[in-house]
Amino acid sequence: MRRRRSWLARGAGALCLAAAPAHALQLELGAQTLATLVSDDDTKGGGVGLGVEGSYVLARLAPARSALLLRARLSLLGGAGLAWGIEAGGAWRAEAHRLWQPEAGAYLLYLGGDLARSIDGQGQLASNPVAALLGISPGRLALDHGWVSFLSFRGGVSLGRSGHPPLALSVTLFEVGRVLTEPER
Amino acid sequence: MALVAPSYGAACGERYETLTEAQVEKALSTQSGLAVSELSDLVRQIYEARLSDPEVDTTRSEYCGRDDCVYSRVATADVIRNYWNAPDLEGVELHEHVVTEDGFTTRNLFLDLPGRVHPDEWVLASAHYDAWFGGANDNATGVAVVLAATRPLLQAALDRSVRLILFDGEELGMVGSGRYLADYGARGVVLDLNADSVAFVGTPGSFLTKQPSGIEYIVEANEPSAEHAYQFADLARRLPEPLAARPIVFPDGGVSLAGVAIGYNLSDHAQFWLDGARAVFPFPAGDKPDWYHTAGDTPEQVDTGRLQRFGRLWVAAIAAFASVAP
Repeated sequence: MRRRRSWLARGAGALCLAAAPAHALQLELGAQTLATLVSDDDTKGGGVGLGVEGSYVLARLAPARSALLLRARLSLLGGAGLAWGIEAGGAWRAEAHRLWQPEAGAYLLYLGGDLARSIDGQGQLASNPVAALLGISPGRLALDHGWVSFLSFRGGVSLGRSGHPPLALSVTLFEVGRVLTEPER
Repeated sequence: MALVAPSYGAACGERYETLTEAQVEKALSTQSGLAVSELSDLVRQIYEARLSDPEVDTTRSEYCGRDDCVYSRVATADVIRNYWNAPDLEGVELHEHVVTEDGFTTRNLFLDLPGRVHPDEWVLASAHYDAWFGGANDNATGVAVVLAATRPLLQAALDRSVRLILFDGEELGMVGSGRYLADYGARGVVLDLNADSVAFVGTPGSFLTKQPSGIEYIVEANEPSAEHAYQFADLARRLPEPLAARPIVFPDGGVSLAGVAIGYNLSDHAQFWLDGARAVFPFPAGDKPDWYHTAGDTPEQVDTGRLQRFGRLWVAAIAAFASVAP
C-alpha cells in the first residue's frame, strides 16, 4: 500500500510540473540522417535523406528529470525523386541515466513531393499521404550541451487509405543535436 | 517534325481529361476489327518457332537471372517478317533498324501506318520479340498483339501516324530500344505504348506491389504520360468486354535521382522515360509467377480470355491516341 501511494504521488507531481513549468524555455535542435517510406494503395515513396527536428520541452518530472516534449521535423528525401516530410508530435524522454535517455513518442507525418501515385476513376492524382506513427529512440545518449542518437524507429499507418497494409515507416539512422536554451537549475 | 511538349496536368491539382467521345468512338470501331482468335495462334506460332530456333544463344544467362537460360530471337524475327510481308499488307513497308555495337547486332523491325492529318506526329506501339526459352507470355503475347493490330489500324485511317515496332534485345537490357532512340530520337512521338507479357494472371504480390482486389492491370506511366495512362484505364472500362486497369504515375519522368528508370516492371518503355518522352506500360497486376524466364513459360500459361480482351484494348487505345481530339 505504501508503494502504491508513492507512485500516485509521483504522478501527481508530474501533473503539477506540467501545469506550471519550473524551468525556462528550453529548445532543442537536431540534425538527422533518415529513411522514410509510405506505402498504401494510392501512394508509394519516400527515400533517404536529411532531417531537422526541433523540440520544445513542455514539462519535466523531477527528480528523475524525464521530459515531455513537443516536436516537429522537416525532412528532405531522395528516392524515386525528391520527397519531403513534415512531422509533428510529442515524445516522452525517460532520462533513465545521466547519459542514456531513451524516448517514446507519437507523431503525424505528411509526406509530399515525388511519390508514385495512382489516378482514380475521376482522373484525380492521389493526394499526399498523412500517417500516424509511434516511435522509439532507444539509443539516445546525452552530451554536455546536446546529444547523439542512433537508430530511432517510427512506424504506423497512413490514414484514410487502404493497402496491404497502409504502412508508414521511418528510421533515423543518426542524429546529433544541441540544447539551445539551458534550463534554470 | 514537331516536338511534343510534356504535360504535367493534374500534378497541380487538376483532373486529367478523358478521351473525347469522338476518340472513344474511333477506338471502339477500330477494336471491333481485331481478329481475336488470331492472337492465340500467333502466340503458339512464335513459341514453337523459338523452340526450333537454330540460332539460340546459351551464353547470356547473366541477364536472365538464373543458370542455363536459352536466348532466342532469330526465329521470331522470321515470323514477324512473314506476317508483315503478307500480300494483303501491300502498301506498307517493313523496315529493319540494324545496329552492331560491341560485337552485338540488334534488328528492330517496324512498320509505319501514315497518319492522314498529322503524319509527323507518331504513336508507337511497341513490344520486344527476343525471349528466354519459348517465352509464350514473355513476350510472344506482346508480339502477337502488335502484329494482330496491323490490319484494323491500317483500315482505320487514323489522324496521326502509327509505328508498330518490335524491339530486339530487351532481355539483355533494353538494347534494341536504346539503339532505336539513339538513332531516331523521340521527336514527334506523342506516346509509346509498350506491350510485354500481357496475358498472365499475376500472383497476389507483396505489400509493395499488391493492388486492390479486382485490378487486372496496372498502367505504369511517367509524369508526362500520366494523362494517357488515365485515358488508357478509362478506355479499358468502356470496352464491351471491360478490363480493370489502374494508372500509376512514377515521379520525375520515371527516372530516379540516380538516373535509372523506376517502376514495378521495366521494359522498353523505360528507354523512352530515360529520353524524357511519353511512354505507357500496361502490365498484369501482382507479381510475376514462378515460370517467369523459365522453360515453363508455355502457351498453357497464357490466359486466352485476358489476351483477347487486352488485344482489343490495345488496338482501341492506339486508335484513340492516334485520333486528334476535335
